[in-house]
Amino acid sequence: MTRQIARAILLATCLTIVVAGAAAYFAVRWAVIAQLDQLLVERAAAVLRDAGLGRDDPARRVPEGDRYLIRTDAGQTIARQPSDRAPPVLPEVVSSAFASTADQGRVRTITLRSTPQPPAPAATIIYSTSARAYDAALGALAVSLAGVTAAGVLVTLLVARRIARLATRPLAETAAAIGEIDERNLGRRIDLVALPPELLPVAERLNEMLARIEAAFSRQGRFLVDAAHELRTPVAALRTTAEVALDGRRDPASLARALERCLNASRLLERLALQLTDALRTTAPAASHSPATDEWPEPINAARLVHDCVDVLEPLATAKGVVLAASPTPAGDALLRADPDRLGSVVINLLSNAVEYTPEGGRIDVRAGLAADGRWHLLVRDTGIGIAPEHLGRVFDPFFRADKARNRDRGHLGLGLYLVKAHVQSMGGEVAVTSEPGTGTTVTVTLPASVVVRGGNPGLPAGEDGPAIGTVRQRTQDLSGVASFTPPPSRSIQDRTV
Amino acid sequence: MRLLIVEDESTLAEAMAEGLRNDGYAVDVASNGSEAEFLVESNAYDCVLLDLMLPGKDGWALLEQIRTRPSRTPVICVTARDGVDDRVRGLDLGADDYLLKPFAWKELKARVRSVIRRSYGRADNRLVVGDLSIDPVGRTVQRAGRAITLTSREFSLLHYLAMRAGEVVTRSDIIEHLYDQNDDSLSNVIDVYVGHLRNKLDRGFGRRLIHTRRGQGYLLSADEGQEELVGGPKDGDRGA
Repeated sequence: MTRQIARAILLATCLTIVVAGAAAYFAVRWAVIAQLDQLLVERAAAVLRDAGLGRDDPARRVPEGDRYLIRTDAGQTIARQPSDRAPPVLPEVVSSAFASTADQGRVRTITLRSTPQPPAPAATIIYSTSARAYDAALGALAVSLAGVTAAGVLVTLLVARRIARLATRPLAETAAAIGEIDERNLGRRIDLVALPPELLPVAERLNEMLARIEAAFSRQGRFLVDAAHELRTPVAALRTTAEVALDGRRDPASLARALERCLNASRLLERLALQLTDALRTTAPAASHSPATDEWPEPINAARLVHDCVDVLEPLATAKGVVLAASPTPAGDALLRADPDRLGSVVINLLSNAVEYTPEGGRIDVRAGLAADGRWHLLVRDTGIGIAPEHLGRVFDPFFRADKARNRDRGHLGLGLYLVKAHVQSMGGEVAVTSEPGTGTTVTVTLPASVVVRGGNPGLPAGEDGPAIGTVRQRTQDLSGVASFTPPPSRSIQDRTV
Repeated sequence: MRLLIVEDESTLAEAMAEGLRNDGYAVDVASNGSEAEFLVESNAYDCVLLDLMLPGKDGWALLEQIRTRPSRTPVICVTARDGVDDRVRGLDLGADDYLLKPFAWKELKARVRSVIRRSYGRADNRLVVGDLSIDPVGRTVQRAGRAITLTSREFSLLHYLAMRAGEVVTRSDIIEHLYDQNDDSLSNVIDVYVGHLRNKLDRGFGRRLIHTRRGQGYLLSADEGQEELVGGPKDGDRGA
């Protein structure tokens, strides 16, 4: 940018200098010539007068080098000087001009007309004088002006870049200041006080952007700190179980029991690890803003996915005495352009929450499909213990767990709904929760029409899976290990030895 | 000695309970604040292992509650909260110790011993009564240099008596401190255990260490004169 400014300065200044110089020259030249013409007019008029007065030798009054010719309209020459030479004759239209002569070089000639009182005849005088001196003067002027112009251009050349650099220095300094900001000092901002007003808008936007980045980093930092915290207890469970077992009796039965407990504890950790991986997925930059849908050219069969997830959780629900019912698939359901992993995670998390918080004898309804407005809806309604109104606003917060007096299962990180919301939003959709304590909870997920490839078509031929279903099945297997984790029944009473 | 574990992660709570029972403690487990509150009100514990992050009741409030009771039961915070501010707060609210998860099992046991020791006004782990020497860590007993074999229960009983050596210990004290919630043993069993202890510790050693105070309870002492001690510290009123 410095170069551009320098070039602009150079161009403007040089142009100005050149134009000014030229203008000056031509102005002076015009004035000088006008003055010369005036002089010639006076001399010519004097000669005419003398000739009209009959003075015989007007040549005496004419300076050396001047020539004149007086003639009548009829063409008769009345007087001339010198006698053997004539000034160059101009067409009548031009009254004064430069002309070249063979012997004198350049001369200035004027033509003047006199209309004296009759009976004297009207006459025309052609008067010329040597222009050499004037040419020399004008030439000198031209040269000196050219010299000045050249000098000016040279100075500009030298100075332009320096000036430009001066102008762009605040920019360079700001750039240097920004260059020093990294994740360790995101609190820094550009100092607006010292900046020229032109840079203020840019600097202010930059500061705002830094604030947003700082907030995002700190959110992520807090998330990681919370996650690390959450892991401590399950890790302690595994460690203490193992240490106590090693500390105690080493008979095979005791060790076998201990190993089983270690296994349970490790499954707890596994579940948390899976949830954290899922959670980290949502903080990956690619996922958050761009429609993830563009990355998934192969559409998935949404109904098939929902049913797979329901199948996974059904045994758990049944064991708990809870009815898990999914609405029948309409023939040919929507194909969605979405990440099967993320959508699967959403469904599994919602179903798993519903099963967890619905007591025996309760019911969970799952419905999915296209609405009239072209959007895809998923509805999970349970008759569970519900969420208190004061907690409703926070259920989507990471690591938030509404207090449940009976909650012995630390497998809940409090990430389920946070993940659901993050995934749904990354797909361009929305999620809403309504709940009444003691009655039940309903969660509604809506995905925009833009992710729907087609809906209501006669359907895929029997047996043909959507292309990504293999991944979905695998994913639901992984998540099923997570979803079906239950704490072991308390055995301490039976196990204790006296 | 009787301990209360307040921990909502069942796997961890059970592992801790089993390990401590293996060491001869009577252990109760509470998985939430209300349960813990109830148990603390109903029973006398020698130490409470408290997780500060509980569903329901606020762990800090519970800590305060336990520590302001007249019995001043010692509390060890066993928690995932590792910030300095948390530790300071816990200790200032009255916690006797603060242990971070995950912890080394050996360390937990040592801290429990330490806290209980202090609450009984003792400087060392080893308890000496006359020529009787008790090592609570290795759970071994010697009298006059001779090693004596005791069952776990017997040792626990002896340990408790020794901690309160010189005091009269009532039968109900013994029941409170040697049995947990789920134990249905009758109080008469205590007499049987005392009988066993007498057989192993007193018989053949000359001076009697275990004394009976009819209508009151039992007393472990090497000093005949100490038997007359009245108005000594009782359970529920431990010195600092």
